[in-house]
Amino acid sequence: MEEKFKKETKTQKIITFLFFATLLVLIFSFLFLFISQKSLEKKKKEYQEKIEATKTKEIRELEQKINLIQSQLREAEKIPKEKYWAQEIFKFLEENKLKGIKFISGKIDFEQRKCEFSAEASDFLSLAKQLKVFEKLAEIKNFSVSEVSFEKEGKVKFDFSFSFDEDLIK
Amino acid sequence: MREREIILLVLLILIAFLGLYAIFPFSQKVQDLKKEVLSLKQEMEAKEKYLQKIKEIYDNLNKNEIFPLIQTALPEKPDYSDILAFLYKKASENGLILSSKISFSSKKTESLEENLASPFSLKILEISFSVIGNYQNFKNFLRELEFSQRFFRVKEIEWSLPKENFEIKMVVEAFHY
Repeated sequence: MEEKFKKETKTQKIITFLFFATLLVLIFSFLFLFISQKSLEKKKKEYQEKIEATKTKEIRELEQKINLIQSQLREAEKIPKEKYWAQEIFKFLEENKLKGIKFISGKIDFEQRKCEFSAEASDFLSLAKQLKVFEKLAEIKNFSVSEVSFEKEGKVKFDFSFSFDEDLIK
Repeated sequence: MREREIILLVLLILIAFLGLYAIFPFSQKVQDLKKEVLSLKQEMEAKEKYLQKIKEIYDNLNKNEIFPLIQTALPEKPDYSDILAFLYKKASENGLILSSKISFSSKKTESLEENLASPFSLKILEISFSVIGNYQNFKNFLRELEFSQRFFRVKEIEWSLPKENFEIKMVVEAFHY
């Protein structure tokens, strides 16, 4: 009877030990997980703050600067291709202006590639020769004379206009 | 006594199960947090590398000898004072008188596609002014204007010749961001 009682007490002791051991393991596990969670949350917050506050702003600023430079480089590459020279039209006019002709006024629209001039010829023959020259020029298009008026001393005033190809000013 | 042992054993098993049941989602949460922190760490490292890389790119671009030329040709700002100084200097150097009235008007480039594609769209600054002088001087002025480092595009030229000097009205476009 005594032996049986002792045996039962031993089993009880083992079960009680196991009970407390399990309880302790559980408590320590919770504690460990709780500390880990807190530490990880702190790290997460730190990383998020670092990413947001410093790096992102700096990167955005640098990206903007680089994008601007890239855009400038792109445009700078296009410019020489699209560039035209307004001075070329004056060379062209000088080359094709005959003696006895004087330009009084003019308007050149480089965007529309159109010219309007008012000129004066020393005599009718000079005017006729000048008009012939302009009519024959391949570089100009839609050549038209709008008004011719005879002045004193045989001078002739005339207004004319034409359009030109881009090649003329390239 | 046997009953007591059974009750204790059941209680032990119950507590173990309950404990595991409670720990499992908690442990899962911690695992997820670990993954998040790791991914954030990787993101930060990647950003640091990227920052380093774009810093190098920016430095290289800045070192490029063509860079200052582009900055002058297509500056970030309209630079009104530079334009005015340039026009005044070149007009005087070529014996021309710059008009007392110079007007500026801004507009965006016509290409809508380009404007939408890039946040940095090129803007046009239209400058209207006139110069008084002789034809040869005007030609020199025009030549210097067209060969200048700042990119100018002549849009319109209008002139009239009263007696000696003639007045030339010009509309010129300059570009900026």
